[in-house]
Amino acid sequence: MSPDGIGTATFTAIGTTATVAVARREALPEARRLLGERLDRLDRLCSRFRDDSELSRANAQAGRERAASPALRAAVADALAAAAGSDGLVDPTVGRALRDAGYDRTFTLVRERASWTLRPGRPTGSRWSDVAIDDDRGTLTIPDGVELDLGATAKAKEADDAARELAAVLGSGVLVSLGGDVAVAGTPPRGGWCVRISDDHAAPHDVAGPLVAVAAGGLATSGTAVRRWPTADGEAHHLIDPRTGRPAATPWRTVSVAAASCLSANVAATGAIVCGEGAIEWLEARRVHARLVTRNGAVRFVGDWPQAAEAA
Amino acid sequence: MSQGSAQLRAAIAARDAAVARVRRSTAVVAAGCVALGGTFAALASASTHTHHIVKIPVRTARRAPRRIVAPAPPLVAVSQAAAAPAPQSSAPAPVAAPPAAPPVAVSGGS
Repeated sequence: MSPDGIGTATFTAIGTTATVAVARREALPEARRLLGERLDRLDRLCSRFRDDSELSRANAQAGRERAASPALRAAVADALAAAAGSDGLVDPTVGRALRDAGYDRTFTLVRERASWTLRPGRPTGSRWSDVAIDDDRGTLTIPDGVELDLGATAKAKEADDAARELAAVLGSGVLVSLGGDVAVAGTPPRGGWCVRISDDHAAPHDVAGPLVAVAAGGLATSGTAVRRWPTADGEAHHLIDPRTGRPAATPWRTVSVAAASCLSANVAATGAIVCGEGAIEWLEARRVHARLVTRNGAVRFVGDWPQAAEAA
Repeated sequence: MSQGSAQLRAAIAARDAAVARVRRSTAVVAAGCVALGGTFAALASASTHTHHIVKIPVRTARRAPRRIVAPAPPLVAVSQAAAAPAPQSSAPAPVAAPPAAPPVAVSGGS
């Protein structure tokens, strides 16, 4: 709890850290409860690491049309929209490439593994456009041989939806952060929600890094510094370039983006990492505010990102 | 005519007159009973609560229009045309927070 009326709670969920902050402190217990319930549902819906999740069952039935819940169809639709809006750079059909790269179990277990031999990369070949959703029939068809991973969109969309719902239910300004994907809704505290920018979302709040204030929309950071694991060919990370089917070879260590929603911000941040050298222009075309950090620590900016925060 | 037969006729006439009186009395009593019954019935009905006859609308399940099963259209892949436009920001840019402001979250890689 902070002394200025803001209440915060942090807990582990969906394989990462979830934080909820409310402008009205007394609303915190209910906010924590509601967010926990939502994340339980999300985990059952689209975890890649649970055999009983609906996504796992759908992936296991790739190649044929199957019934899918409205929630899964919506989550897949978001992922396909992200693929289209990112020139295919944020591609939900990289699930198999992720497993080939060694990310085939929860990251805790991946990190504990001694080493891994990368399998040859297989470009996804825009197969995302072959994924079919039929809302009239209530079905989803994943092409044969394709495995969906909704990691780039489902978490950020959940942050957006949860922040909006909690703000409406609790009548309070709300911030929701899911693994560093931040969404805000309702009336923020005076001056906005203060968020630290860092390579690692799990870093302590007083870690070195710019401090920005967000009053609306979303803020997301994607990076290659945290979810890394050793392989026989060097370290791998979890951001797959669909053009190669392998972890993206990128000059960027971290990209943070502020946009109208957390989902848009995360798609832009992830797309920029995957895009590589052309990320600055790619982000400018999307009219977002962004901060990019190269592997050697140089910082670049796009849009109206507050450069003054670097000196603070 | 003998005096005996005259007496007989007088007795018969007296009997017939008595029978006629009895009939009239019976009719009057019967009419009185009917009138009293009606009166009491009216009083009884007026002394109890009014009973409203409520017409309950008969609910009938709305039948879904019978679906004419047409051949299923080919599944349409969600394509660029149906997808959302590129993410664009209409949100104000973040601003540098005051140095003393306590952060509530860290946005970083996960």
